[in-house]
Amino acid sequence: MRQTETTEQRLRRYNAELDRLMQVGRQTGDDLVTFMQVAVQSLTGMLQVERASIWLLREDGAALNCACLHEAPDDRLSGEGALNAHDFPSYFDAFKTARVIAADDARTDPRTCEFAVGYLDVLDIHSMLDAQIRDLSGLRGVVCCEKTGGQRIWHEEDVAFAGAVAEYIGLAMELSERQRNADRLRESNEKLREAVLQAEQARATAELANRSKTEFLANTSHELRTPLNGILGGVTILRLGVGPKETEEWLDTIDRSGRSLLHTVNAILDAAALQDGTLSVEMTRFDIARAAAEAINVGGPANFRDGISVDVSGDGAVDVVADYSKTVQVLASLVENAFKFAGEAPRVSVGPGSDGQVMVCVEDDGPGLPLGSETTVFERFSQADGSTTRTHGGTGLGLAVARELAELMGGVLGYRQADGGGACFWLELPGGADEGMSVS
Amino acid sequence: MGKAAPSLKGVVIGVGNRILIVDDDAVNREIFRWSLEGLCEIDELTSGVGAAARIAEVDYDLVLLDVMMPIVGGVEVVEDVNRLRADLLPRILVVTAAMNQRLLEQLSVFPLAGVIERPYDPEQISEICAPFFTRQ
Repeated sequence: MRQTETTEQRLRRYNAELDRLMQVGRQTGDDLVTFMQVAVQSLTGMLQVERASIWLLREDGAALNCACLHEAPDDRLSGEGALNAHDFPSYFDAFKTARVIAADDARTDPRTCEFAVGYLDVLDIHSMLDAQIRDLSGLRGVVCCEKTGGQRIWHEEDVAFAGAVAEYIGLAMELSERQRNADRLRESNEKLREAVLQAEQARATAELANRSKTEFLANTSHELRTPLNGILGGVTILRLGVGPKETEEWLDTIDRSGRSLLHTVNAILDAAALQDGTLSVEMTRFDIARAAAEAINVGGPANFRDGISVDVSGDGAVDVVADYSKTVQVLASLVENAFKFAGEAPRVSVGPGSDGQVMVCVEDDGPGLPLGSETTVFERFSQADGSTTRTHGGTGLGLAVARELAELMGGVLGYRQADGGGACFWLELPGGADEGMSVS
Repeated sequence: MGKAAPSLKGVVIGVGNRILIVDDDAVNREIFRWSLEGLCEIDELTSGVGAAARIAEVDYDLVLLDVMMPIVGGVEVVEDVNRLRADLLPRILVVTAAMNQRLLEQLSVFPLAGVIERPYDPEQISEICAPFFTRQ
């Protein structure tokens, strides 16, 4: 039995246990609950007591809450109960002032006698050994060892051991708290960084939208004023009086400037209606070559008089089922683009598409689209590359609206590079040759 | 063309005057031609491509320069002329259908002849251009 061990043997045993607890503390890290459980089991085992518990001081210092209790006879771990300062004033005074309370006879000791009736007698506790738990912020609680069944004379080494375990617990609490604070700090740092990132993105998006809007307004203004210049300039010239041939030509220019203006206004209105989802199409059967010819008139320069013939493969009219004016609108955008980027008239051809559809190709000898912009060119407010947006003019809506219109009519608008390196935009529409097709 | 000959009081109009029109819009060029015919020799470019080199090479009395053009725009032409022959900037008259603050700010650093906005009265063109025709 241990009763016979010498002071030196006991000290050695306690020191070895403290070393072990130190190791455990390293392993449990910020898992304070596990460390506390190990600590109370260590206390009962080492001090040969039946009960060891850890009580933590409430923040207001007016109560102790049991964090962990080990009952050695049943080897049971629990953690319930609270002690209020006003019920046990002497004990609270005592444990707050003394690092260790070693009460050999707890029932008569003035520091612990408040527990005699209803607690010590019930549990048959005779001796108590309590040690303060402190960390850098001060008193945090108390370690409580209780001997039942008979009195225990606490040795100096016992007192030192209980004090050391209590210190370890204080250290573990300190570390755990620091870890928690570090985690919280890291978390809030991450949140902050995320918030900054989000704000940055929102700002960039808003800036981009604002720039797009500004560019859209500038480009729209350009697109509306250019044909107006033709109309107003032409009218002034006619009023001043020119020869009959020139009169005819200027009237034609004014007429086509007006149509071009209408085309631009329609594109802007269509864009708005597409966005609201209020755009409707009126499907009829018509000769696609007729729509293509009108599109050349609308999309070409107002004084372009050479004419472009629509090359139709096969014989006779090629009918499609689509909205006539929207088809003209789509094709006019393609013709307009070809003139704008290639500086000359495109070739327009009509032929069979996939699955009985009809395909119209508008092909030019211009620079074509830069690699990688084949899809972005169909997005609103995007031209092939940012640097050309301001120089080429156009609303930045033409192709985006054209594609949406094509899809609304059950068609497809696409791009491929022409054999000569220029641009080739193609429009596929449902064919009208099939008699079974419904026409409204 | 059968239009009335423009009369410009107090301005000596010589055959040596040369003007360059840089504009992608064919109607705009035609209106310029109509306004300036008989007053000077007219060269035309349909985009800003090669415009700066041409301006630096040929001693034009006046350049009517559009802003929004394919491939090379008017502002880029101005910047290029500034590099090549900054002394010719006062002979460039910028014509735009898209006047805005940003454009004016962009151009304000250059000593240009001016910036005019479309639509304009074709009759005014010759008046605006006349002061630049100084050759006998």
